[in-house]
Amino acid sequence: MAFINTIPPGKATGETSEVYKSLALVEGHGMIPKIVQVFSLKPAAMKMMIRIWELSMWMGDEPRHNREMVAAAVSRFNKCHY
Amino acid sequence: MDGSAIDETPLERELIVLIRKNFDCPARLLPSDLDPIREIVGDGALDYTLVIGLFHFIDRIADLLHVAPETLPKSLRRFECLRRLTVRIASLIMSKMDLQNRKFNTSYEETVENITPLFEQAMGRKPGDVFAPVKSRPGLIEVFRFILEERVIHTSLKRETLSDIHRTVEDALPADIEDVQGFHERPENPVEAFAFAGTRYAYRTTKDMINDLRGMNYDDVGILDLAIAVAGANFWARTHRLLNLKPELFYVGFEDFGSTSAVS
Repeated sequence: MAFINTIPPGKATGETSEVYKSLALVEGHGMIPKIVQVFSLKPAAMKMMIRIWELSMWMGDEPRHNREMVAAAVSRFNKCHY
Repeated sequence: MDGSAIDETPLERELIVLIRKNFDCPARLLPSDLDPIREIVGDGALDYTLVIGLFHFIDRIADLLHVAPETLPKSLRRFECLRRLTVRIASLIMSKMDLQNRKFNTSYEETVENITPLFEQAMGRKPGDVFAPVKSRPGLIEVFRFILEERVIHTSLKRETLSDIHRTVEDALPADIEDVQGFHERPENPVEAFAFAGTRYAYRTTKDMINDLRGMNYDDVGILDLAIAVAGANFWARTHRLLNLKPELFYVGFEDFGSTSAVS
């Protein structure tokens, strides 16, 4: 459980709910990762997070599998539990 | 047995060298560290720089705020059938994702124009050619606009607190493998301790550290803002060095940064 409260997608209203919906357009499915939900108390920050993720993983010329490899390696070095 | 793949490509090898340096001595990162990757993929090196920066941001948010993994709870992982089912569901979700590269349809000139009002608000001047090093990847300027917008408009933190966090992150930035291992004396101030641990080893963040922040009257939103500030500074610490951007573009109170960051 996170150290701070979050608003799960089922209980979100207003701007938070809209930002959750916008994630489905980026990802192509409706699952909201917990790393996105942790921003739910600040919809503007959640929106920022989603757009930066899209710019990092989809924009540019490099193939997706290389980007995923880079992401996995960074997290492995960081010993990130997530 | 050094952990590297037998059949790794030259690009993979160079990426791992860069990722390792971003982890164990980011204070020593230089624009020239991108050269071996540029020789293979040209300005694609900037795409990888962004992914590295993003995951230093995401990992810190996850560890500083203890975000639960997207897996089965530990107690259920011993049930093989449940584990298999989870993997199948994850595969199904992944199969629905569109993973093709997308076009960034805004030009360099337009992205600079888009960031200008915010930049002027933050810096008191026009951006001019400060983003020239990333001209071939204007998406990077949009990323910068978002993190600057968070810092200037959306955060609940005081300017002095942001300045304190940015300074603590730069001072704690590992310059050697020893800095990311072992035990080091943490600052007594809970905000600085949060920034210090979040920079060196965010996975060691404890509930007690969060309680110390609550003792300073930080509520959930305040703690989220602190985590964003620490993670954002860690993103920037790596990105500004690799992309040869001026550190004070994002850091608060770093106008004299050039004279105080002499780790090379």
